[in-house]
Amino acid sequence: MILLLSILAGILVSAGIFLILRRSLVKIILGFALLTHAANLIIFTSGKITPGKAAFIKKGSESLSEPFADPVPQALILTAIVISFGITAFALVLFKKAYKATGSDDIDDYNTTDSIKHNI
Amino acid sequence: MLVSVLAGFASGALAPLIRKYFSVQVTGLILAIIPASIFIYLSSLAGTALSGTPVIEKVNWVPALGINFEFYLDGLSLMMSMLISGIGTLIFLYSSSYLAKYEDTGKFFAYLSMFMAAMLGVVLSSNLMTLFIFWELTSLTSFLLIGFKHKYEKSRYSALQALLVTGTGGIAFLAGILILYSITGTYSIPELAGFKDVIARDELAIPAVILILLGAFTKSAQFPFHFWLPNAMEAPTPVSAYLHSATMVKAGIFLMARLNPYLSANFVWSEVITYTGLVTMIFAALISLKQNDLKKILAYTTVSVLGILTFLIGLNSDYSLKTLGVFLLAHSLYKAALFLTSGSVDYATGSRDPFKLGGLLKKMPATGTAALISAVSMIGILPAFGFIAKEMFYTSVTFNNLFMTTGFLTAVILTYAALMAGVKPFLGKFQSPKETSETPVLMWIGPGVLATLSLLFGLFPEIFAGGLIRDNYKALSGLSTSYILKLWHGVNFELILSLITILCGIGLYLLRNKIFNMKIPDIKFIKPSFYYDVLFNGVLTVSKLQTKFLQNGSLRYYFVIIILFSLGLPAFVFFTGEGYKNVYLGEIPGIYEIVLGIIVLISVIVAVSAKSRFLVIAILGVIGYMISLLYILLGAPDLAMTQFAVETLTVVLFVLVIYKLPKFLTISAVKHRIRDSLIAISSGVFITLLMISVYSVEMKSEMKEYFGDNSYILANGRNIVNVILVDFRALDTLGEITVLGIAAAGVFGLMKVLKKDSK
Repeated sequence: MILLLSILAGILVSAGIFLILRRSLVKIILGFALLTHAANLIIFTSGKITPGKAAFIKKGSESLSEPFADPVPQALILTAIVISFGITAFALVLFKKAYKATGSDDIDDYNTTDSIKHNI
Repeated sequence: MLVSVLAGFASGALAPLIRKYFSVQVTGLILAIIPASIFIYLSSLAGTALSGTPVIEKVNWVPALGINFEFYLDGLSLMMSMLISGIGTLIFLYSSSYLAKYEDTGKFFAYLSMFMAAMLGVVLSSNLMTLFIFWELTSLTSFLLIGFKHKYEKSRYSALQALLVTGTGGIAFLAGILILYSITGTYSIPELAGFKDVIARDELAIPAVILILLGAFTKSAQFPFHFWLPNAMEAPTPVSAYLHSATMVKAGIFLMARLNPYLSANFVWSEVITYTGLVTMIFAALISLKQNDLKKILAYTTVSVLGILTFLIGLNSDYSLKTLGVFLLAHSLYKAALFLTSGSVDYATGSRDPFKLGGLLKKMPATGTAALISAVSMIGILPAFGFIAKEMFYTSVTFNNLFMTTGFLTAVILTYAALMAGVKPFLGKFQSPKETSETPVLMWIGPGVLATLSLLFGLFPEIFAGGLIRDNYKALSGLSTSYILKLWHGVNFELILSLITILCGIGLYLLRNKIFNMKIPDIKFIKPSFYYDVLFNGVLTVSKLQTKFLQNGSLRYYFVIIILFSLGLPAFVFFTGEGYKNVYLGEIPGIYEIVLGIIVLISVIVAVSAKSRFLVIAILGVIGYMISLLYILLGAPDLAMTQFAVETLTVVLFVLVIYKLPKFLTISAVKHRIRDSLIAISSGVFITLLMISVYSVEMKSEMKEYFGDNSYILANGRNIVNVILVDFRALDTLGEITVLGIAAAGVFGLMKVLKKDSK
C-alpha cells in the first residue's frame, strides 16, 4: 500500500511541477492543485495505513484500540484541503483580473508594465 | 572624559539645527566652542597626566563581556587628544569662512563634530573593543566628509575607496582583537602588560599581530594601502587639513604606538612595521615629485611622513621612540597649517597648481607668512620645531646605512615638497590666474596660530613639549626618561647631513620643471590602486552575474531554482548516505486501490498533454474524486467528504472564472518542455523513493494513542478527527477559518473590481 501511495504521490508531483513550469498562468494554478494532492498523500502515508478502519469510537466503548487510522495526519490534511481551496479560489480571481488588465495568459508578458492595456 | 567624547556627538546632532537659524560663520563659531572647551579641559588634566600617573576613567557598558568605556590619559593620548581638539577648533573657525559658498553646511559641521568625537574616542580609549567602535566611527564619518561634495563622481569614488580600504582594515583589526582576547582574556590595553610572555610565544599571537597591523596600515595609509589618502583630497580643504594632518591617518600611528610596549614582545611586530614604514616613506616621497597640485603634494608627503612615523615605531629603540613624539607633533603643526594655507590660496586665486602661482606674499601677507614658517619647519631649518624633529630622526637612523640613505632621500624630497607647497606660491615673481587679496581673518588665524606654535615649540622646546615628549616616551616604551629637549646640539654629523639635505632639496627645486616633465612610463599593474579597481569591479561583476543567475526575473526560473535546491540537497544526502536497507512496501493493495491509481495516472497524463481547457478542468475534478475514493477505502471518510465538496466547488469556480479565455496555448519551446519534463520526472521519482525509504521505518505515534484513549472521555466525541479539529486543536481551526475569511474577502473585492470593469 505504501508503494502504491508513493507512486501516486510521485506521479502527482511530476505533473504538478511540469505544469507550474509552463508559461500559461492557468496551468500554473492547476499545477499547484496537483501538488496539493501530492502533499496530502505524503502526509497521509505518514500515519499507519489501515484500510477500512476509520478513527471512530464505537457506541458502548469509551476508547479506541489498535488497529485504527491515525487521526493526526487526517486532521492536518483536512486543514490543508480547505486552505488550498482558499488559495486556488483567490489565485483564480487574481488571474482573471490580471488577464483582464494585460490581455495575456503568458507570464512572460508580465515582466514589464508596458503591455498593460487597462488601468488596474 | 566620557562627557567630552559624547559632547562632540551631541553637538554634531545639533549642528544642522543651529545652521537653520544662524549663518555659516556663526554656526562655525558656536560649534568651535566644543573642541575649544575640550582642549581647555584636557589642558587642565595635563598636570596630573604628565606627573607619571595616567588619569583613568571607567564607565561600565557591557561588563559581562569585558567591553567598557575605559578612558586613559597619559602622555600619548594627551598629545593626540590635544592635537585633535586644538587643531579641531582652528578647523571649525577656518571652515566657517571657507565654506561660505557651500551648500548643506549644517550637515558638514555635523559630520565634522562627530568625526572629532570619534577620533577623541579612539585616542582616549584603553579598551580595545570600544577603541575599535570609535575607530569604525572615524571611518564612517570620514567617508561622509570625503564624499561631502557628493555631486561629483570623483568625490563619491574617493569616499567609497577610503571607506572600503579603511573598513576592510577595520575588520582585520577586529579579528586581531578577538584573537588577542582569546590568548589573553582581556580587552583592556594596560592589562596586556601581564601577558607579554604569552604574546611573545603563543603561535596565535602572530596572526593577531598581523591582523591588527593591517588595521593600522590601512588607516595610516601605509604602502600598499596608501592610495586612498591622495584621492581623499577630493574633500573640502579643511577636511583634508584635519583628517590628514593630525587625526584620521594618525589613528593608525596611535594604535601602533599604544600597543607597542605590549606587542613588540612578538618578533613579527617590529620587523613588519619597520620595513613597511621604510618602503612607504621613500615610495610616497617619490610620487610627490610628479604632482602639480598643492593638496596632492601635501597628501603624498603626508603618506611619506606617516611612513617615517611607522618606521620609528618599528625601530623601537630608545631614541626612535623619543623622536616619534617630536616628529608627530611637529608634523601635525606644520602639515595642518600648510593644508589650510593651500586651501586659502585656492580660495583666493582659484588655482592649486604651484607652477602657476608665485609672489602671493604681498597680496596675502598673513597667509603667506604662516605658510613660509610652516615650510621652514617642514624643511627642518633652525629655529622651527621641525628642525629638532629632523635632527632626532637622523640620530635614530645613523646606525644603519640602508635606513640612513632612505631617510636622507626622503628628507631631500620632503624639502623639495615644502618648497613647492609652502614657498613657491608666495615668493618670487607674482603669478596668479586672477587678482587676489588676503582671505578673511578666520581663514588665516588658524594657520597663523599653528605657524606660531611651530616657532615657539622650536625656540623653547623644553618648556612647551619637554614633559609631553618624556611621558609620551614612557607610554611607548614603558620606561621613564629624563631626556631634555634642546634646539641646538652643536655642530655634529646630523647637522651636516641636514645641511646637505637642504641643499639637495633646493637643487631638486631648481630642477622642478625638468622633473615634472620627465616621462615616466605609466605601468598600471605596479600601482596598488589598480588592484583595488580590479577587485572592486570584480566584486560588482560577480554580484551582477549572481543576481542574473539567481534572480533573473522570470517566475519559472525561480521555481526551477527552488525545486532543484529543495529536492537536490536531500537527494544528495539520500543517494550518498546509507541508503535504505529494510524496504517495507506495505500490504498488497486491493483491486479497488489499484484501479483508482491507474485512473489517476491516465488522468494526469491527459491533464499534462491536453489542449482543451475544459478537458483539463474536468480531469482535475476526476483526480480529486479519485483521491476522495482512495481516502474512503483507506479509512478516512472525513477527508473523503471534504475533498469531494472542495473538488466540486473548485471545478465550478474554474469553469466560472475562465470559460471566456482563449484556447490553451503551447507557448514554450520544445527544448524547454524537454528540460521541464526532466526536472518534473526526476522530482517525482525522487519523491517516490524518498517516501518508500522514510515510511519503511516503523513509526510510533503517541498522539494517536492519546487521542484514541481520550477523545470520548475528555471531549465527548466519537469521531476522533472531528474532535481534534474542533476541540483539541480548535485554535488551529480558528486560524484556518480566518485564512479562509481573508481569502473570501480578497475574492469578493476582486470580483467587485471585475464587475466594475465590465460595466
